[in-house]
Amino acid sequence: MAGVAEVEQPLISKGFRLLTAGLGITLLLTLAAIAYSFYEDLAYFFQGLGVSEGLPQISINGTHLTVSGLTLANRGVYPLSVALRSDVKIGDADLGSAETGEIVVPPSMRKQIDLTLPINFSKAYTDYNLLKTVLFNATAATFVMKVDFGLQPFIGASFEGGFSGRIGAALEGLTFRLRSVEQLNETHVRADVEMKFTNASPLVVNGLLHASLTSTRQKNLQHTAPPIEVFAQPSQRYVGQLGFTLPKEELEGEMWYVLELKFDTLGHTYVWKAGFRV
Amino acid sequence: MRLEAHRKQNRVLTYAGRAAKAAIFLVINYAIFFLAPSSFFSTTGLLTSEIEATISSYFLVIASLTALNILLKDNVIGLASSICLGLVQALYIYVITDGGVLTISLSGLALTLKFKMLLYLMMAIPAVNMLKQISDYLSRSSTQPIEMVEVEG
Repeated sequence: MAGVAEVEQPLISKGFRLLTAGLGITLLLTLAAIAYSFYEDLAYFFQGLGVSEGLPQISINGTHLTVSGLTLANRGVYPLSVALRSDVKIGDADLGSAETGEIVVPPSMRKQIDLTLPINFSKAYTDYNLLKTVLFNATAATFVMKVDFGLQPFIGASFEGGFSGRIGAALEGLTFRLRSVEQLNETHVRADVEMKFTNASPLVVNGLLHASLTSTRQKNLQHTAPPIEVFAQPSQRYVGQLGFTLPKEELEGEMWYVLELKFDTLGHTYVWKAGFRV
Repeated sequence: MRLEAHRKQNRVLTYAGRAAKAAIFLVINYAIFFLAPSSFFSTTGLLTSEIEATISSYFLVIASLTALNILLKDNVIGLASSICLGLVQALYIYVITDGGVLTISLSGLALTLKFKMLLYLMMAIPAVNMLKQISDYLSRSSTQPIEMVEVEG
């Protein structure tokens, strides 16, 4: 009977075989541990999102955005590293960003994460169109949240999602009305026009308002009021008064009056028209 | 004459055994290099025709090289195919995982997975296997097996 006597495998070959087997087993065990931990943590994360459990509270004021009360629990068997980053934008302008740095949540533990973003409105103050939007229109700030999960050193996962938060206009509800008319002499009256608005934005409104009233009697005639300083902190309701000296006959009869307004603020000038009815 | 018949029979048996082994490895390779990535990409919604084509073409190359490697393992073609197989498997793992960075969109959230360490671990297995094949071939060529013939008394 013919046969081939197999030569015993050399040591180096056995070594490679062992190494391959070791790598394979390591890979399988790592994958199994990561898959289990990842599944548990992700399931918890999305379950938490679904029932609003562990969701953060977000508040914004003139200087800071605060994200608080975000609770993360690691239900897996692997330490979970979390880093939270947030960016705030209005339009294309970055208002601020902050990050927590790496937070390690050991298995079967939970941690609460708080994040405070200093908001820098300098971009909004220096950009003419952006400031115009913030002054006159309600706008939206976009919050981009990035959460970095890591089952280090093997796998890292980043979630990136955004949401918008309404930011009211700085001159929200801006209205003018004739408050009082006072006889000055036989030919002229003093008309006080009240100006009201609420600063619903996180910006401080600070500027000089020039107003002139278009004559209803004479073409191309403007009656100018002394400029008034307008200053309103965020959430503050502002009431101011424009004092016009007008010929008596200007305010005779019920009609719409047109105000031409020029607002100088932060080095920009905004011109618009507004009306009030007598 | 009888010796020749024995040799022929042995060769047939050897190749039949190798063919069976090749078939088993093809099934394993199909599961690892075709079924698993296809299922992963289709579950995560990342399966595009481009990825599908990449998976199919790499699998075809891997399957052919596996078959060649097993069937002609004593031959230099077997060695060449084994080296190519290690390289192709490592390259495939790198290409299909996009260098260890995958981005998945989940209900408005973008999920980016980074697993470079795992990727290197996955690539190390075919690489080490390739080195083993080279080492085996080199040691085989320096130590030839002894052929024994039973002598009838």
